[in-house]
Amino acid sequence: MMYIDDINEKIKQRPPFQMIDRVIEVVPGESAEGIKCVSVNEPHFIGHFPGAPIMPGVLLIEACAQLCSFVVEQEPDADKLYVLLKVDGFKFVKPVIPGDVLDISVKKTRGGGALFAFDAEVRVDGNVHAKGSLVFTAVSRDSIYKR
Amino acid sequence: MADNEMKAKLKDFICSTLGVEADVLEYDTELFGDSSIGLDSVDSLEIISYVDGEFGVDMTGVDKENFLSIDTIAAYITANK
Repeated sequence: MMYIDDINEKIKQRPPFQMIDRVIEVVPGESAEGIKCVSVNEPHFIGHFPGAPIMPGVLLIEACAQLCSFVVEQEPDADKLYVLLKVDGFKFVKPVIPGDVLDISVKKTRGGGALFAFDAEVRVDGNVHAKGSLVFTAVSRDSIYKR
Repeated sequence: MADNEMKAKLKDFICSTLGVEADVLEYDTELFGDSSIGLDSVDSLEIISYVDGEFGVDMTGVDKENFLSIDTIAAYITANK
């Protein structure tokens, strides 16, 4: 179990873009399970949508992506960053609304060479609300910031 | 591994993971560029990762001439195994 202090040491994202509140289990190099508690205070609910708050699907993907970073064991070289490269077949089966507790699970499916691929699933009260696949790679900071 | 077996594996991967229809992909079909089936740089990273995992050959930073087609990728793997 990792609480927020440990989580802050592992991932670089910070509020309002921190999407994992607790990590239940990590199997290094294989899988992870984590929790995000969805609050009506989150800023995206102001506009998505007025009077009908629904957590944006892209943020569900982001929550899954942040959990994946706990699975990848090796830190990238200092001049590199891990980035999301590809999102495959994501389905948003049921809406996520304030008050939901997201049980997120990610499992590595491929890890050859420069890529890491994961299957991800988001459940609320045992029911699947979103699922799909994510692919990450390490890229040099120069290729991002010195075009 | 026989060349044809290697090429069949590459084709299976490109079709199943990169979403290319099998009937438009021959071993000499151009993969990248204007007159190709339209793979992009993300797909090339997928191919590099697959080749590394499946055949144990690192194609990171390899000249793009080697990525012209399944034929050229297989030739590179054979030459560098």
